[in-house]
Amino acid sequence: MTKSVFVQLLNICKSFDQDEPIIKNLNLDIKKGEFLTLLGPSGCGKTTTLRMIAGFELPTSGEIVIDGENITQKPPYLRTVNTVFQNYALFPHMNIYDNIAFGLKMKKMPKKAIKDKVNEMLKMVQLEGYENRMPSQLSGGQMQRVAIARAVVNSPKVLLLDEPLGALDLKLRKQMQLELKHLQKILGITFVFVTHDQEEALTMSDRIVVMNKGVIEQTGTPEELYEHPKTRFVADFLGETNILEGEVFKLKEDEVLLKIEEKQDIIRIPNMGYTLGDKFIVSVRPERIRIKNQVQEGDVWLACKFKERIYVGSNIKVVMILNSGKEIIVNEPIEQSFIFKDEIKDYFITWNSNHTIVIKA
Amino acid sequence: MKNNISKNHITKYISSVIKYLTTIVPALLWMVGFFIVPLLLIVVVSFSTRGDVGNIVYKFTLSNYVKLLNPLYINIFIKSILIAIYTTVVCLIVGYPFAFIIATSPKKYKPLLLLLIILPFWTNSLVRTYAMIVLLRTEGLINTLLIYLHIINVPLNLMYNNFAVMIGMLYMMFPFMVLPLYTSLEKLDKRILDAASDLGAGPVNKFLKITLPLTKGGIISGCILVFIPTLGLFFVTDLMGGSKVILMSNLIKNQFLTARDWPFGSAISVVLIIIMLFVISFNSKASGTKGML
Amino acid sequence: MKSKKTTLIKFLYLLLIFMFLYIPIMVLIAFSFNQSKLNVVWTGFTFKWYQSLMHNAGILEAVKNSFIIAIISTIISVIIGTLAAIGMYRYKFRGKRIVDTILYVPLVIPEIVMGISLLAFFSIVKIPLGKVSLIIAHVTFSIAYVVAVVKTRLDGFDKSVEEVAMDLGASPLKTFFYVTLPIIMPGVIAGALLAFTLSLDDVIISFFVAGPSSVTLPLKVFSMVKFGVTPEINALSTIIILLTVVVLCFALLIRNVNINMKKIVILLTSIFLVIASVGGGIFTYAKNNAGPTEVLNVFNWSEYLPQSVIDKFEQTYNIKVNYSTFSSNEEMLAKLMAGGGNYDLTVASDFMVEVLSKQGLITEINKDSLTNLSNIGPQYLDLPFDKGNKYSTPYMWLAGIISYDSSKIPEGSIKGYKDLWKPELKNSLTLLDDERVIIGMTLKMLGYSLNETSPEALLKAKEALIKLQPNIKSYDSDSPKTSLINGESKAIFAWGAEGSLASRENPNIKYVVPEEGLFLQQDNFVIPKAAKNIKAAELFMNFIMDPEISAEISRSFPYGNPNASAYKYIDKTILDDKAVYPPEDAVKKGEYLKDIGSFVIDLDKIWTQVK
Repeated sequence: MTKSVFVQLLNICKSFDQDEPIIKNLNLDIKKGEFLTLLGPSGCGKTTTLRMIAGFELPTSGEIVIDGENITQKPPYLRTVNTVFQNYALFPHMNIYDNIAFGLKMKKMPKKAIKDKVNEMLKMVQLEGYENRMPSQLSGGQMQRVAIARAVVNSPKVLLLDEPLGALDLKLRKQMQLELKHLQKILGITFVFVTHDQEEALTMSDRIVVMNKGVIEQTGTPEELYEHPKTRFVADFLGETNILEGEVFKLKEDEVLLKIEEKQDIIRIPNMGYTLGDKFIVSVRPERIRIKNQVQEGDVWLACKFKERIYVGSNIKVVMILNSGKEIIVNEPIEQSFIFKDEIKDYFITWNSNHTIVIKA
Repeated sequence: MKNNISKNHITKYISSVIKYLTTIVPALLWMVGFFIVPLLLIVVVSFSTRGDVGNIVYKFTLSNYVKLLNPLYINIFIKSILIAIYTTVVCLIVGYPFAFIIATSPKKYKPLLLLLIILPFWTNSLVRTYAMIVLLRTEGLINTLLIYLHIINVPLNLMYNNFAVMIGMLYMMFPFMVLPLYTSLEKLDKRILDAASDLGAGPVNKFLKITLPLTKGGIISGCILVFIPTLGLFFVTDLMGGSKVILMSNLIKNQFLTARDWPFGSAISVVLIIIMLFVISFNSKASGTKGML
Repeated sequence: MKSKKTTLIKFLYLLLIFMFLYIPIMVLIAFSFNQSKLNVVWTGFTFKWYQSLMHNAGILEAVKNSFIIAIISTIISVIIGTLAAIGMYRYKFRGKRIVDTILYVPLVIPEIVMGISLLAFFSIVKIPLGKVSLIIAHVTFSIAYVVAVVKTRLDGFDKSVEEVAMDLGASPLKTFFYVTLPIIMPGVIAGALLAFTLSLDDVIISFFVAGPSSVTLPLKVFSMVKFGVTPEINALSTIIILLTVVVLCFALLIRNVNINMKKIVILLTSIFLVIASVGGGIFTYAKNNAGPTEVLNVFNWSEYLPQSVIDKFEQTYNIKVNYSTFSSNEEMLAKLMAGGGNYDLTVASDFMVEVLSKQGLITEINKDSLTNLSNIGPQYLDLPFDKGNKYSTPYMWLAGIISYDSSKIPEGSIKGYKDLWKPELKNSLTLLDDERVIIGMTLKMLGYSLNETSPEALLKAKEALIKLQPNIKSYDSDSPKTSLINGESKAIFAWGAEGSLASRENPNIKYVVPEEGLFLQQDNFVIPKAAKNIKAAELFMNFIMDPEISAEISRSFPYGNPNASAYKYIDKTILDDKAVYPPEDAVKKGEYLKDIGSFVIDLDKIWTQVK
C-alpha cells in the first residue's frame, strides 16, 4: 500500500543573520500516515527543520506544502500542525483539563464537545482522573503524556515531536517509545519525530532521514539505512560499525582487491567498474564478524591480534587489532564467543563478504 | 516567485514594526520625551547665562563651568564625593556580613529576615530620617539616656554636622546595599564551596578566592545603588545638617530655588551626571545585576 | 560544623544591625502615643495626636493628592513598563543596548538631577506645575523600576509555553492574554506595588515639580519635620509604616503564585474595592465644604497665617483655598519665575515687591474693591518700594530680634549683633537661612547700611561671617523658634514673632533689640500676573485687612500689624511686647532692605563660601 505524499519541503534554505546557512537546499517528501524520524547529531538542523514545518521559523527560501496547500507564510496558529515540545511546556497556571482543552477552546468548540474530546484523550494516555491536577504535581512521564494529549486532541494533520523522550530515564523511555509507536498506528496521523538517539530512531520509525550539517545524508527505512548506508556518516552514525579505508590496487574481471589501511590486508569486493587507485570506505558491522584461529576457505579474512574483551550482558565485545594498528570491534553472542588461549598470539577475523558495505569515498 | 519575496519582505517589515510599536515604542517615546530631553535641556542651560534677576538668557558661555573651578566649589565636590564614598564603604563593610548571614541562614527564617530588611526600604524616607533626628537631637533620646546614666554631663553634639549627615545617609541607603548583596549571595551554588573544601581550602581561602569573586556583581551593584543616590539626597543634608552642611545636592537646590541661577545649577548637575556615568561604566565591565527584587 | 559560638555571633550581629535599623522607628511609633509634645519624656498614653491628625485638613488633602497621583502613575507606568519588558525580552534589534541603558539609567541617576531637569522642562514647555506634572514625573522614574522587576520575572519564563499556545491555535494577542500575562502576573504586581510605593514616598523629585494645588504627603511631612514640634508627625509616620507593612506582606504573599485570568479579575476587583473604600473614607474627611467650585491659590511664608483664618475665609465666601508655603523671598521668586505655579496671591517683602514689579511678574491692584485698605496705618502706605501702592497691600511688618534662653545665657549679656560673635556662644546659635538678612545684619554690625554693596564692605562682612561660623549651630527660616524651645540652640536671630511665640512656650526666653539698629521688613500681598482668579485674590486681600481678622492673625503670629483699626482687638500683651512692637525710636533707626540688583550675585558667592 503506497502512501501518498502529504508534506513536501521544497528547496528549503535557512540561515540566521550569519553568512553560514543552517539548512542548505533541503528537499523532503513525507508520506501520509507514516512515522518519519529526523535523525542527526546536535546542530545538524533537524530541530530547525521541524520548527519550520511548525511555523516558528520562516525558511529563508523555499516552500512548504501540506496536503496540497502552500503554508510557507502561514503563522503557527493558523496551521493544522501541532507540536509536542522537548520540555513539555505545559501551561503552569492551568490544570490538566484546561491544558488539553486549550487548542479546542481556541477553535471555539462548544463546551460539551470539548469535554467529550478531552475525556477521550485522558483515557487514551491513561490519565483519567487527573483533570484537576496542576502540572507541578505530575511526574515527568505523566507530563509527557499530557503534552501528547494536548497536541493530539486537535486532530492535527501532522504531529511534530521534538525529542519528546529526552528527559525521561531509560526504562521509561523504552516504554514510551513503544507507546508512541502504538499511538501513531491507532491514530493514523503523520508523525514527524526528531531525535539524536539512533537506537530510538531505529525502533520507532517507518522511515528515517539522516541529517548532517544542514543536508540530508540519506533517507530510507531503518533496515535500508542500517544494512546499506550510502555515506560514511550514515554508516558510522547508525549502530556500531567498523570503518576501514581502502584503495584499489589490483583489478580483476569480477572483483577488485582493496589495500586496507595501506598495509598488506586485502579485501575483495565485486568489480562495479572501478579503476586502480579508487578510494573506498569499507564498513562491516561488529555482529557480522567472527574470530578464528586459522584461515578457512572463501569469505573475507584479516589477520589480527587480541586486545580486549568486554562483557556487556547480552553479548561479548572483543577488540582486535589489525596489522595496520587499526582496532576492530567484534560482537559475539555469549554461546558462540571465541575462547582465547594464551599460547596462540595471532588470530583471524572473518565475515561473509555479503556483509561488506562499500561506500565510494 | 519574485512577487512573493517582496510581499514577504513588506509584510515582515510591517509586522515587526507593529511588534515594536506595541511593546517597546511607548516606553521609549516616554523616556526620550520626559527623561532624555529634560536632561539635554539641562546641558543646554548649563551653557547659558543668568539674567539679572534670575531668568535664563540663551547666550552661549562657559562662565558657569569656569565658576566651578573655584576652590570653594571644588571643596564642596570633594566633600560630597568623600561622604558618598564613606557611606558606600561603611554600608559595604557592615552590609556584606549581614547579607551573608541572612543568605546562609536556615530556610525557615529567610522569608522573615527578608521582610525585616525590606520593610525599612519601603518605608517613607522622610519618616526614617525624622526618626534619626529624634534620636540624635540635643534633647533627643540618645543624649537624654546618656545623661541619665551619668555617662556624660553635657549633651553630645550629634546633629547639624557632617557626622549627622553621614548617619542619615547610612540609615537611608543601607537596605540598598544589602539587597543586591543578598541576591548575589543567594545565587551562589553551595556545591562550589563544597568542592573548594574538598580540595583543601580553609574558610578564609574559600571566602577570598571563591565567595568574593563570585559575588562581585552584587558588590558592584550595591555600591552603585548607594554611591550615586547619596550624591543627590539634599533633604538628608538639609534636615540632618541644619543647612550648615553644604553638599553638591544642596548647592544645586539652592541654585534652582533660592539663588535662581539655573545655568549655574545646571552646570553643577552636569558634573553630577558625568560622575554618575563614570561610575556606571564600572558596572558594564562587571556583570550587570539590575534586578534587585 | 556549626559551632554554637559562630551561630551566637551571627545572631548577635544580625540583632545589632536590626536594632540600628528599627530602634529609631520604634521610638517614633512609641512617642506617637505620648501625652507630651516633646519627644523626650513619657508622660502618658493617648490617642489625641491621631485624632488631631484626622482633623488636619492640610494633611488629609496631601494624602488624597498622594494617593491619586500614586494610583494614576502606577497604572500608566505598569502598562508601559510591562510591555517594554516583554518587548526587550522577546526581540533583538539594532540599538537594543541603547534602549537597555535608557531603561536602566533612571534607576541610578541622582533624583535631584531628574527633579531639576523636569522643572526646567516643564517651565520651558509651559506645563503648569500640579498634579499633571507630578504624575508625569512619577511615571518617568517608575517605568524603569517596573521594567527591572518584570524582567526578573521574565528571566525564569519558559518561552516554549508561548510557542505551544500559538501552535495550538492562539493568535499572538490571545497568547498574550491567556498565557503570557497570567504567568508573569506576580512580577507585574510586584512592579506595580514598587511603583506605587515609590510614588507615595517620593520627596526629591516632587519637591521640584509640585504646584500649589498638589502638595503630596512626603512634601507635607517635609515641612512638618522642619517645624517638628507636635507628635502629629509621629502619628502620621506610624500610620505610614503600618500601611507599608500591610502592602509588603501582600507583595510577598503574591510572589510565586501562578494566577489565571479569573483570579486576576478577582484580585483586581478586590484591590479596587479596598482602594475605593479607603479613598472614599479619606475623601469624605477631606471634603468639609459642600464642594465649592472656586479655588484660590495662595502662596505665603510658612507660619504666617493661621488655619482658622483660612477656614473662615472659605466658609464666608465658599471658595476653596490651596495654601502653599515658602521659606524665603528668593524661593518664592524662583517658583514664580519658573512660570509653574498659577498662584493667585502671594506675599512678598519690600524689596522683593520692587523686583517683582520690575520683572513684570505682578499686576496692578484694583483699589476700588479693597474697601478695608483704609484701615491700614498711613505710615505703612506709600513706601518707596511701591509708591502709591499700585501693586501691593501691606500685610505684616517685622523686625529682626535676638531671642535667647535666659537659663543658659545670663540676662543682659547680649545687647547687639556683635555679641553674637562671643566665643562663649560656640555652637549655640540658630540664624535665619536668608543671605540678605544675615549678610545685612553683619554689615550693620560693622557699621554699614543693610544695603551696602561696596567690595570692601562685602569683604569685611565675609570675613566677619566666617568668624561667626563656629557659633552657628544651624540655619532655619521656617521655624527657628523650634531650636530655641527644644534646647538645640541657646539664641536665635529671627523675626520678632518667633521670639514672642517661643517665650509663650518657655518663659525663660527673653529678647533684645539690637543696639546697632533694627532690621525691618514689610511684607505685602501682591497678585502675580499669572493669577487665574483675581477676583477671589482681591476678596482675600480685603478679608485679611478686616480688623477682627487681622487681630486674629496677630494673635497666632504676633508680627507687627499695620492695620490701625485692628489694634483695639489685639491683646494688650502683644501690643506691649517689645519683640513685636519695638520702641518707636528703634524703629526710626531701623532700615528696610532694598533691591540691590545684580549685586545679589556677589552676596550669593559670599553666602556659599561662608556656609
